Amino acid sequence: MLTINDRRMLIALLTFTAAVSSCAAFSIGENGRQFSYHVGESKEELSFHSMTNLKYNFSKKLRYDTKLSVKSKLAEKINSSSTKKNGFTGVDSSSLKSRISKSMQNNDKFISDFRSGVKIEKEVFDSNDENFPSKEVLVFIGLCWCVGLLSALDRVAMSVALLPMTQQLGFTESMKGSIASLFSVGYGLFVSLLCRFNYVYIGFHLRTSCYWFRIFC
Amino acid sequence: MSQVSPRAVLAVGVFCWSLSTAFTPIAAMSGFGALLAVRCTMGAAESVVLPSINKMLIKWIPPERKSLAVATIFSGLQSGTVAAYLISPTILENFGWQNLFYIYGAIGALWVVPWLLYARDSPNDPTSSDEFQLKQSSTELSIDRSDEKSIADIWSGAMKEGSRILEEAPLREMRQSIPVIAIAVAHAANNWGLYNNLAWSPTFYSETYGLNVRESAFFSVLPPGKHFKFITSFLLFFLNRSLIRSGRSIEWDYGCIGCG
Repeated sequence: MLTINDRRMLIALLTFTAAVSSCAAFSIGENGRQFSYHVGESKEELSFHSMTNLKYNFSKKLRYDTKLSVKSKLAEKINSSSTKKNGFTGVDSSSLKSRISKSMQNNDKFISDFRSGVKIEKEVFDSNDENFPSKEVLVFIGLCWCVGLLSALDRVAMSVALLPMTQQLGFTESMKGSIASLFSVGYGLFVSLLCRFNYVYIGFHLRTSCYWFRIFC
Repeated sequence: MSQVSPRAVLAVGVFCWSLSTAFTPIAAMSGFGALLAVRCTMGAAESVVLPSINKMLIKWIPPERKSLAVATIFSGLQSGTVAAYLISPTILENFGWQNLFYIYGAIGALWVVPWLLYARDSPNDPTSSDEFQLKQSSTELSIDRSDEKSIADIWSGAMKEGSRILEEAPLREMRQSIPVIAIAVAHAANNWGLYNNLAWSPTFYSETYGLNVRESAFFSVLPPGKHFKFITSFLLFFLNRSLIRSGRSIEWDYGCIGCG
């Protein structure tokens, strides 16, 4: 049989593992939540998001093209000047030219994508922009505010009610700890489940953020 | 894509956690395991809130103004924490701890009614009164009836979509990416501090300084600066708006500044 000390140690260990796992689950779930901001699934929703990337890609592409053309012009100049002087072959400008033509082929697709994206963006903006904070939106935001308040109210109520409950039911410290942590365990696990079932749509955002990280880091 | 209506999910979530709040006293009297189970259920139900709200905000608010709406709604979370510390002692003194949970559960269940009456998934989505009555009579269906899919279809579709997303998502890069790890660690640390405060402040004040319930709850309001976070988030609205207008992607900027 376990002694009282052993049991205490066991409970403490269990609580600790619960806390750690809840932290892990919570952080994973919460990151999923954070990644889910500004992301939707319909055409309009995606367009907002992809537009920013598209704009960036387009500007990057333009820069790349101008760079290439400048390079090829320089190469031509060098070639013409060097061949005249002492038979120096110089830089091979044909490969540069082929690269330019290749990148120019994609330009039409880019531009059409960009235009359609701008069109969708404009339509959605215009439809939402007329007397924007309408009564409906305000009611909706008010109800959401209330649900936030209620969720915080119910989750914090326990920590205050724990004082009289401890007096009446005689909770130990580890019991109090596991009461507090089991909330986060449930939260984290269920948020991960929501991610799994595409309720929180993380994929797109993860992809784009990795893209940004790869560029900047 | 899954066709689950966030409005219905949120209604079911609020109903479930109100129910488990109302059942907390009974569970606590019957046994410790039951209490833990109720807390776990409540946590699971509350996790629905933020994803649902985000999902609906996408359709309700244009992205330029979304951060203001998010800041407003998230200020509700902080206000709720403060309100819980300030109101709960009064209820505890007058009605006892059992009734505290009953009252809070009842308020939550009452909130579902205006939500089902006035809220819609998107501004362009007509929710007729007939449909609402149908939903109300069958105790808040979690699935929208407008599309004629069975629950099994939706379930399998969601499973497929979810696994596709998980396969496509660059999880390896995410695990190896230092910024992602940094965000995860920062968020874990943030929650560590916050939930330590939320869970243990009243107990700490009452055990260490011998304060009564009212005093210890009052002092618990002050330490976490998190309660005043929404002021910063309102300021961030303007930054966010200008960033979106300039057409840059904002997630990297936020990761850089480290806003939670």
